[in-house]
Amino acid sequence: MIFWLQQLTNGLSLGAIIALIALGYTMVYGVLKLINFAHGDILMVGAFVAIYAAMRAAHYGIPVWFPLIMPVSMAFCAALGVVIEFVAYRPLRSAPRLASLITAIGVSLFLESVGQWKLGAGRHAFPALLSDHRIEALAERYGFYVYVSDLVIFASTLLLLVALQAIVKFTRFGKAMRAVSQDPEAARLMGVDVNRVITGTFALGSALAGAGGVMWGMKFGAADPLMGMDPGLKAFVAAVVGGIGNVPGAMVGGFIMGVAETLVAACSIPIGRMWGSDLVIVGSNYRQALGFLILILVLLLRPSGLFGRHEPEKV
Amino acid sequence: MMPRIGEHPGLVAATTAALLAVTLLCGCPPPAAPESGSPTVASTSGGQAPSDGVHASASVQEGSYGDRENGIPIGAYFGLTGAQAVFGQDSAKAMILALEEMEAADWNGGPSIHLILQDDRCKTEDVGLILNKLINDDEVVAVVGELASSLSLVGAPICQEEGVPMLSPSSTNPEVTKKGDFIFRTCFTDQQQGYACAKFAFENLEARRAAILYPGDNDYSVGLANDFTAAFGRLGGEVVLSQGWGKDQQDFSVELDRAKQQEPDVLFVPCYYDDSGQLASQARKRGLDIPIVGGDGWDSPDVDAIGKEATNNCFFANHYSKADESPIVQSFVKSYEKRWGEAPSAMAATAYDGVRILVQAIRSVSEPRDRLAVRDALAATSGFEGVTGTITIDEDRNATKSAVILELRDGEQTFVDTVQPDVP
Repeated sequence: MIFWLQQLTNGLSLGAIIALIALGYTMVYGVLKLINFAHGDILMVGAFVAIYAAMRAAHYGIPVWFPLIMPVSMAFCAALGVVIEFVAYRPLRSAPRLASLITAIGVSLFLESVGQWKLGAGRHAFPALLSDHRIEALAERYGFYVYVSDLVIFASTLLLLVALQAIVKFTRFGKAMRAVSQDPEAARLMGVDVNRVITGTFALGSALAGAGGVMWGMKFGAADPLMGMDPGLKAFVAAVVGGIGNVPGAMVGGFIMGVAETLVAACSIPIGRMWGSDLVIVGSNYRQALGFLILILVLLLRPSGLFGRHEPEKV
Repeated sequence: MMPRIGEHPGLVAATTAALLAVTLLCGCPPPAAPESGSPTVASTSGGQAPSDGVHASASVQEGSYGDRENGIPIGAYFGLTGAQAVFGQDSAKAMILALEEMEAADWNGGPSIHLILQDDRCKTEDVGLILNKLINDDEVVAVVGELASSLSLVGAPICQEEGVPMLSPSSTNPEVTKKGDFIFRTCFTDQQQGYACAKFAFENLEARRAAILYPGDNDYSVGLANDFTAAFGRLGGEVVLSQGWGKDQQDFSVELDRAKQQEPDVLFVPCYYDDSGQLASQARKRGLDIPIVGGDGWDSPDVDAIGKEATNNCFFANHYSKADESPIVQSFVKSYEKRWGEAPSAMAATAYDGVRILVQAIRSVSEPRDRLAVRDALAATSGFEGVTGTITIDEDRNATKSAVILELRDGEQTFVDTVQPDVP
């Protein structure tokens, strides 16, 4: 029982990070109808900025502390997102959508390659930005490990989500975003500066990726130039499962991915005996396939995702 | 809204082309080794490495080394960049050192050697292309490589088919040399290594219950996990969990929790150095304070750099110990440190022995460009005194050697024990 509760906790803390990354995908798609495949690699940049910032901070005697390092990463990634949008996507704004998609893959490969060139392909240790204390009372009495760092990750994810929802729902910028998402042409006619909205969306989404990168690095203790691929892919699936373009959907999708993956990995199901040995389905072997299985099922049953609205194709 | 094609056709096309070009340039050829801004230098004569002085973190690039004009061409393929680049770099550095020494001392007499070093980026898909080039364009007499079993298993059938002797200095998976009579290895096999780890865990650590975690997509790890299981069972222990993890996985929490549930005395983790530090630190964090044992894939300072204090109470099997007092080891360690400014890892030691055995074979035959003659000379290798022990190639083209067990203690590798091979 405790084991499964433990796995649920593991799943939720993984899901929180995936949800955070999925938000970036979903926002950019909502406004631009572009799947930003470089999103996972921005996460990687965020993790390395945190490593570098922690190094500099330690050098100058500033405490290497999560609330100080994370904003640095987020700010850097926001700026990077804006630059990428300006250089790679804006010139293609009126090109066929496929061109932007290919460009996004190009940007992703570009970031990965520059990372490998400048940082080497190996893994780098990620500094401990948070104490890895666990709640001792639970650990001693039940053998149930809850980490302060996981709680902080969880709490900051929820905080960022609420902040994002507030921006989208209650600010002028959020209103402009929703307008551009509905119809960029009409929004422009109403005096909305579409370019500024898109720039802002990229900045927000990339900042979230940066936050995700810091959390990912912190949770798993290392960073490497290709680290963005795995979380990027999972978050993309989460965004599609939740209904791409939909903010709460991405969040729910992220948690579904994290929890499902962890619980399946924790299973081993004996399915009988053959030639004198037990046959067991080991869940861990299928954990990465599972995400895509969920994706296929959701797309079959609800093609626009769990929370997505079905919109007829405009011709 | 319809996409408006043709508003800025020129601009669009140009940007796409430019971005694609940048992407292709950066993505396709192996990115040059770290801290060197220049593109990969291919086919330039002479050693590319710093020729004088000591560079602490110098890295070797692919290209030509040795006597380019008249030397007997031999090929080498290693991952000089990529996930396990440290191993490839160490192997290449040791080979270059061995060649320089042999040329300078006119070792065993005979023709000079021209080494063509290729980077496979630690990727199976690059191996075929590289071997094709080495065998058909460069017309090499023999090939040294790969160190990773997964990659050697791709290369071996190609070399066998083409009739080119291939010598892997460090691939321990038994299947490698079973690919044919042109495929050799000069290190121990996983059977011997798995036995060494199991015996150490059972006798020195007095473990009776072992849990095994390994990357399920890696031939080396899967093979070593199986061999450990067999040996540990034979000794009287019980493997309570054997669990693989997935490609590029960094979150080991579930696997570790499942292992913890079984209350093992020891954790056996036959992975490469890029995962082991991370796994150790996550294990300690989850309250698994038992000894962790690994294989020769753990031999890199990176384990400690990422795992930090979590790597205390970790042990691994290896090909040699640089603390070994014997003169041949000490002279190798000294010359390697002088040449490259760092201590040689086990991969360097095995590659050093491997290329020396190959050159000895080439220089012992009357027609050094005859691949078949070189193959026969390799097969006849007997009693070769190497850095990693005395090497005799048996009828299965393997070498039977002892393994050493090293302990990680505050980031230092300390020698614990030597385990003699067990031939069941």
